[in-house]
Amino acid sequence: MDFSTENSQNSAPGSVQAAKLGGSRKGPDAQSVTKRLQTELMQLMTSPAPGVSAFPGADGNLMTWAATIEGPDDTPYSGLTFKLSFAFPNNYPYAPPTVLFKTPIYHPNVDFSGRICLDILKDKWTAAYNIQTVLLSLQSLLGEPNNASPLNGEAAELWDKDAEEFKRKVLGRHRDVDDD
Amino acid sequence: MMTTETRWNAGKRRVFQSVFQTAVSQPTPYSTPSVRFTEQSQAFGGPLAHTPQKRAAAAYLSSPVNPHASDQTRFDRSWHIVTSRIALPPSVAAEDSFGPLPNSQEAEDEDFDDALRDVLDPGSRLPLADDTEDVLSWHTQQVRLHFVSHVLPLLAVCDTYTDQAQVLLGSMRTLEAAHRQYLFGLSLIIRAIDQTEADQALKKFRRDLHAIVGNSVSSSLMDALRTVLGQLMTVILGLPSALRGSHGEQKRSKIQEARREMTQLVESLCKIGLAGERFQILFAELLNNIMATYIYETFAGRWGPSGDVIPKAHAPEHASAQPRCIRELSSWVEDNYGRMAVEVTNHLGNVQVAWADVEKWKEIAVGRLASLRISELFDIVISWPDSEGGINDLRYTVTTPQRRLQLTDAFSTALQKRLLHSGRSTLDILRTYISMIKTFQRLDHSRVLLDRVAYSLQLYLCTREDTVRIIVTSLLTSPKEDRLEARKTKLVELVELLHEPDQYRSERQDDDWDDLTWVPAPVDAGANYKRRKSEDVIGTLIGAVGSPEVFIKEFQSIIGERLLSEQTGYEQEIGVLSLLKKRFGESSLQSCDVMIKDIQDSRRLDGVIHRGAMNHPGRGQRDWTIHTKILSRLFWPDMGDEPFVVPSSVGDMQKSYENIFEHLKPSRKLRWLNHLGQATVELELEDRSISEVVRTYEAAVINAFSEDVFKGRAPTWTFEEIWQHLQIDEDLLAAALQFWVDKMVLRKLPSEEYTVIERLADAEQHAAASASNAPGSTQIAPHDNAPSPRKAKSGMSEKEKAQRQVYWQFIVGMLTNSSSQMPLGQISMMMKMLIADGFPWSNEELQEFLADKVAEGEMELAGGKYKLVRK
Repeated sequence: MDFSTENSQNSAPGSVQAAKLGGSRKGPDAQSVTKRLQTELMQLMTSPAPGVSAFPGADGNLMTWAATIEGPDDTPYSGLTFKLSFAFPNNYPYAPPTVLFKTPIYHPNVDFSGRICLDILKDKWTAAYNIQTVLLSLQSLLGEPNNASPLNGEAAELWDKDAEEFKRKVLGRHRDVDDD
Repeated sequence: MMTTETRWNAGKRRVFQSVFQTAVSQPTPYSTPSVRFTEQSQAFGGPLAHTPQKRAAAAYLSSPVNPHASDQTRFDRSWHIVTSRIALPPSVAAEDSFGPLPNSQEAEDEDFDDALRDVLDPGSRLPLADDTEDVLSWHTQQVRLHFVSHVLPLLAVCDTYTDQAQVLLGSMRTLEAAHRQYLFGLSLIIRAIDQTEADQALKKFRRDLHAIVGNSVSSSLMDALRTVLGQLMTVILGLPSALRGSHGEQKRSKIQEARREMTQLVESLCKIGLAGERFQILFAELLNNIMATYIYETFAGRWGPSGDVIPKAHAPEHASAQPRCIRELSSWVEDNYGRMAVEVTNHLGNVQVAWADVEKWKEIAVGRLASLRISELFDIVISWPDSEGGINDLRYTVTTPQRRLQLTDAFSTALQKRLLHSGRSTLDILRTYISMIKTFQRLDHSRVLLDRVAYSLQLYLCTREDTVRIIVTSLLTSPKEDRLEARKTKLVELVELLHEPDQYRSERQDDDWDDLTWVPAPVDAGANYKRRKSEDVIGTLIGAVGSPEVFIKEFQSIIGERLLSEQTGYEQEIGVLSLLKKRFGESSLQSCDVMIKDIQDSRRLDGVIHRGAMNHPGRGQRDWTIHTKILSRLFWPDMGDEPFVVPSSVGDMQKSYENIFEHLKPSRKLRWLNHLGQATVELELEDRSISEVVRTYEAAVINAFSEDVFKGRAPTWTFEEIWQHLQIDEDLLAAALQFWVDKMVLRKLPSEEYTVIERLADAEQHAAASASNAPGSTQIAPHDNAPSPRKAKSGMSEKEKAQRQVYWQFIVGMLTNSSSQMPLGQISMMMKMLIADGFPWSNEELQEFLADKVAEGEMELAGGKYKLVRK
């Protein structure tokens, strides 16, 4: 018997129970997504990985998250922080989340609107991945771009040819975004 | 005063009249013939005595010499005869008599008849008289004048009576007498006209008269009428307050009496013209008020079970059967109320009570009953289950969405005013909530009403910290416990419910198709409405206090306390656990299972270890007095950890116990929780010996006083010394010292040292001495001043530290990603939403935590918002 769903039925939005269950109104599927995301959040909090962090959006909706990656040392991105957004589909984790860079970034595999070309976010996705692994993959992507399939051809070219110019472009493009 | 005066005046007038006959004939001034002067010796306008001169004059005037004049004269004379006969007495003697009515026999004389005919029909009989008048309108006019100048003052006198009944009676008598007088005059006139015309004239006169009377009714007369009529009606309609003290036959005769009086009253009111519009309005108002009073007096507080109606709930198809109160009320409306209204209106003539009206009255009455019950609903809920009748009434009457809304509104207000304030204990509130769940379940199967009113209550319960604890301890109460004792502290109702099979109906969502009692959802149900069949009090209650997780957690910690207590059997706990499992599922209560198993296992293991210890070489001779309960740390709620140095003998025992245990269970390790548990302490003092079962830290403290440290000196410790010696938490130490001081084993010296009281007599001397030194401060502090060790946890346990670390991670994550700065409320809300096991901190606790972080330089607070310090 599931009491939590029953009791959220008639309570006003904003009450503790209703809010706690987030998207419980969307049916059993949404329920399990919520549960999974809650568990992931707990994991992220109890065993945080250095340089990456993520958290649900300020409106309390578990289906969209914001994340932060710190640029790894020994890369052109060192010392910079990048904001990302995660949007989870209703059948997560059976489908990958949609991940976008919010901070403008100059990178061979990221286009100018923040879209990312990364296989594990597309056809290589499995349910075994989670937010933390995605973030770590993206962090390593910063240091090791996949120049075979660039979204930003110029960047891919510069990466190999002119590290100085690349770094200059990275710094030129980087801008701190503040969400409020 | 007034009456006696008027009576005296009347008497005086009568004497005067008998001598001078002033009132016998007063010619009406404008009908006096003007063709001649007054004769000699006759006063102008004075009384026309029947003197020979007058006859002569009359003969002269009627002589055929002047036919015009003679006709006119004849008319005038006839006019005079008629008018002087029907003229009203100029004054009224007393309010109830206008002098004797002139004997109608006396009026038979020819003269009058002849004159009357002349006056009535001057056109044919006296064609030449120019100056003729209508005697009927003259009479009406004179009646009007008379009424205004003579009757009204009398009525005003009547109005001054203090007794309302007297006012009414006096006024009515006066008016009746006036009517008699007025109608007599009219009857004389209409005797001479033919039937139809006479009827018409009579009707017209009546109408005129009633208009005058009706328009001149004073407000005090109306008040009197209202009072008298109201009294009669209350008796006739059988209002309990009107019939108090009379029974059976007496009552019936009283009602009969009132009914007769009522009929008379209405009849005479009709006769004297008081039954006009104002009376009808008054009557309608009275009917309305009396219905309200009747319903209030008869049905207020009558909620007794109706017996015959619906023995069991869950049967909405019986809802059409009328509850007893409703049946009584409608038969009252039909038999008493309607009947009286019909009786009265029949007299009035122009109003008819239709059957539809009676039906409408019934509806109104039922509506009134509904609002009465609505206003009583809170009391009905409180006195459930003795108020079943009230609920049945409500279920029958509250059918429209508007009324349902009215019900929930009224109830919510009552709830706020009477329950949801700090004056009520959580126990009260919970108890009321249980009654509410039950009553509303009976009232409305759909639960829409309950959900509407319960929301504020649930919110309020969330603010009470002891809610969950009360529910859980109540669930664990044994049903065999003394009911009355337990009622004071526990919700014994819950235990009964827990064992009720009804509470465990399956709640499938898709079983509508084979449900024969299916009804559509109520129109006012919310969008997420879901039908539920059983009342499921416990489920609702647990739902009210937040998520089941919170509940299970509290259950765990309470059951943990109980398992660690002295008690030996745990049947009650196991029983409740298995019932709760049915509710929440096996997995969520797994750790409770483990806890119970731990206790059972450790009893066995303890036995094994003891046997092992006996066989252990070199240990056999020692007393082996330690027993343990071995808890699997992961599954138990946080027990806290307050380490202190145990007495060395105990420490030795612990060590060997540990060895044997680790030998038996190689993969497990023992960690002692010294502060939990009991010890039996035997103290031998000079004049007495004490044997107590005390807490371990209390035992350790008293043990410190017996240790060989002192070598013959009187054992004395300061607080600091003993604290360092035992390495114990200060709060625990203070509690333990206070405990022994209360037991008259230790006392505090003026030098802030503690010492043992070897002889009680010494202590009393000391106490007396210090009491005289410092009046007002006694040695023995009241027991409840001692800080309780449960609260006295100052050190943070590992678990709590870990938890705080996780919370801090949450906050960092939140402020890094979601929003770089947030106010306290939002942080708290996010934490509550996002932490799966619930976030137990209150806003104040969170604020304190954040303040610590601000002090540590991790965060900063600006404009009411917290943000991370960028490094």
